[in-house]
Amino acid sequence: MAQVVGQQILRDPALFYWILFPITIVMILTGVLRHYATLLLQSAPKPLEAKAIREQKNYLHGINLRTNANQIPLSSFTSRKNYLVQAFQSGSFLKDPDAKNKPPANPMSDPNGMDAMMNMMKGNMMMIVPQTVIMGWINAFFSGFVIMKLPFPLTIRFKSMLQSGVMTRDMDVRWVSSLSWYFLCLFGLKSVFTFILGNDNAADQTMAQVQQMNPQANTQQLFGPGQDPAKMYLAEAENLEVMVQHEFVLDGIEDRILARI
Amino acid sequence: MSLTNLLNRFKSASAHPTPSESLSLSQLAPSILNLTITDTPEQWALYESLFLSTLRTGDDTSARLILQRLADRFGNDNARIMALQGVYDECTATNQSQLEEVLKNYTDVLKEDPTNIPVAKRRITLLHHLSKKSEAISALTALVDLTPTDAESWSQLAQYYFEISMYPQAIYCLEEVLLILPNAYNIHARLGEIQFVAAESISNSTSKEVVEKLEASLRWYLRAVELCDGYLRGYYGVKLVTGKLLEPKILAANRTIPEEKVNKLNSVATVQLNDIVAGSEKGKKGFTGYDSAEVAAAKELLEATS
Repeated sequence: MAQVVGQQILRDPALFYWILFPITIVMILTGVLRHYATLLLQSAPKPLEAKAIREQKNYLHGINLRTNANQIPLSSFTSRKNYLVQAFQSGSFLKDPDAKNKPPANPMSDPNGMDAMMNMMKGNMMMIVPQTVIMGWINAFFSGFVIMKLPFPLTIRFKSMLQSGVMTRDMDVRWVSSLSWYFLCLFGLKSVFTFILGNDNAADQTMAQVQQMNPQANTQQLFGPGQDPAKMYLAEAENLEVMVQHEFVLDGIEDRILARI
Repeated sequence: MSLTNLLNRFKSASAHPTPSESLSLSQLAPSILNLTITDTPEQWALYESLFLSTLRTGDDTSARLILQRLADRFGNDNARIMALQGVYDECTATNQSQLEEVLKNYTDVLKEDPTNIPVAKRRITLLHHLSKKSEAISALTALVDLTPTDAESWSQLAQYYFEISMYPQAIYCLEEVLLILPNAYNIHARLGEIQFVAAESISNSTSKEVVEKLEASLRWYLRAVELCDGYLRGYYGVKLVTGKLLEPKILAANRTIPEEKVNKLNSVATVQLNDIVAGSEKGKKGFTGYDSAEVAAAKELLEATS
């Protein structure tokens, strides 16, 4: 049997105008809409209360002391170390010292964690809902349509990717079904959005600006939900306690300077 | 002029601008305010710097306009905007009672939101300005208890302690700054200065403590010089302290740095200072950018000791 070189399928050109274009345009428009809807729905992260800030910053203070201990004289270091170890162990920097010995609270009941989760939910919803609707729309109206032919040959492996919804075993891989076109748009429109929405992270940029305007807002969480600050403080106290080696950078500085000249 | 050009002019200005420098910056106000608002971080940073410059030169109308635009963009309840508004109120206050009013306003804001750090800092500055020094210090210690990783607060606290001659406390605060910024050579030099002043303040000038403090001061200065080549303030300190250490009243038994090393360090500092003074006066390449007052002081020191 002679090899069929190019399969010929007679297509109505209207397929092109009434399916390929609409799908593409709808995809782009939903992308843009989603972007602005996300911006609208995003709630500003709640600032931390004073006690939470104190808890976090004092923890960082301990880390700073440990990493830069060599910058200060031994006596200064020892007095700071003794004070911090004692304070860390007694838990006086904790947000609520009473909760020290309790098991860590369920992250679901933590209001801060809830907030973050809510935001994540919103983001996911913005992704899932339109996707489901569009896919349903395509499935209902255009399922099984073959709408275009790629201008280049492909191997058989691409069949499942390009011809989903069309169960014809012998059809050339170059034919693309409507559902597949939808998937190609879904994953391939990123650069188009970048072009339209200006680097695509207009959302991020606005956030960065507000952040820049109040760097002291302290919205970021050092202790993630589920982590127990009391335990982290104890671990840090131990880290400080085992620091025995202290080499003050100013020791022998006069020789270093003289050797340099 | 474009936004970046304007921004660079502000960036190249010194941290403590001279009146003429402030004036030339402040006179950029119309050209900056006429630019279209592009809502970029750079533009708002420029607005903020311009705001301070216009207030320094008494151009309150421009300052008002800038503040209005910033508030329109970020909202009146933004912590930083509130602090800027406070600066404006402080600058336009004409008498003591108006300043007291601003202070009361700050206190009210902080009562509602104790985490508003920009306003807390304004309040401390204003307290200090109104000569309520002990209140300023206690407010500042409360602030560093809240955020012990803020270098600005620690160095300000060091300054306040230094002003009331509590040198060990000032040194403690600056050491905290070093824990946060271990390579800040200006802080090292400042520690040297405070140790030196502390040594000078001891009445018994032959005691062991004086030598200890002077040597500590010398080491801090040396570290500053080690971190930053050609640091005039550092070499000035090295020369000054070594000069003190070479005075005959210092007993050899009290020294931990041998006299010959001190001598060598003194000559090293002299050579460096001579270079800097000569280079800066001729405007040689690599010697520009020194503060003219500092160069004059170095020259004076060199002439006094030679």
